[in-house]
Amino acid sequence: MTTADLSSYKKLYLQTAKENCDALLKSYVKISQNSLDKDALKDMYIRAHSLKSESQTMGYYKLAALSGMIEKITKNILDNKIQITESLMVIIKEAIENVQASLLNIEKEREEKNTDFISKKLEEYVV
Amino acid sequence: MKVLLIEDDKFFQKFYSAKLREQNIEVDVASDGEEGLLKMKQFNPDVVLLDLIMPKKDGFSVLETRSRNENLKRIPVIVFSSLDQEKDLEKAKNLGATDYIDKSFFNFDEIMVKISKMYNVNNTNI
Repeated sequence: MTTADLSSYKKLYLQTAKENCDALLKSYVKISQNSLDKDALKDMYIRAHSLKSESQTMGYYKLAALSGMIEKITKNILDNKIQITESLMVIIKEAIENVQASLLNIEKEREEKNTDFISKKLEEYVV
Repeated sequence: MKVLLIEDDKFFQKFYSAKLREQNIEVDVASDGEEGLLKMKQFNPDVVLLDLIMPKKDGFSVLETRSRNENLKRIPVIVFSSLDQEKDLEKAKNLGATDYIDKSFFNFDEIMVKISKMYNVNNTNI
């Protein structure tokens, strides 16, 4: 698909990606209040998965990689492969904030943010 | 040709609906697995594009339910996901998925080739 074809879907992407990101943050808040909230964890997993796929399709690969890491972490938690800790929650929050910042950059016709550093931090927790 | 897209993400619902309709394909959309199974019966599509990770009933559950229903089994299902784990793709295949498309690496020509192939195979066998 050509760049021109994809650019015509940018507005749609930003609208849905922001919705997914907002929902991600809401689920994060629920989990920070109750780490046993499986529904919030599952929602976080689905939202991160959607963000990853959308971003990959639109060519925002760093955002896709970061969302993919959030997806993997939440899947690991859901599968009881890793436990929720305070330090993990801090990094997840930072990751979500970087997703928001990157979307804002894209909206302002700037490059997506370089989020490699936070992706690497999350990767340390992935099983 | 009728295609049912079972996909929870609004971006992909609109994106792929638009691209398929440009090809004069009749498209219906379901936002989760429960709605998807209902529409498979009501809309009677020629091909289903099925996302795997969805709320309520996921794509794996849809495939399981389909495998136990002779009428639904006749409808080819192309798993349409961005899973990057071989074991999940293997699971989908074992549950009866006819083919797989990685939606992250967009190639609409590939999608049309697979959909057309499924449609032709299914209509030849009638």
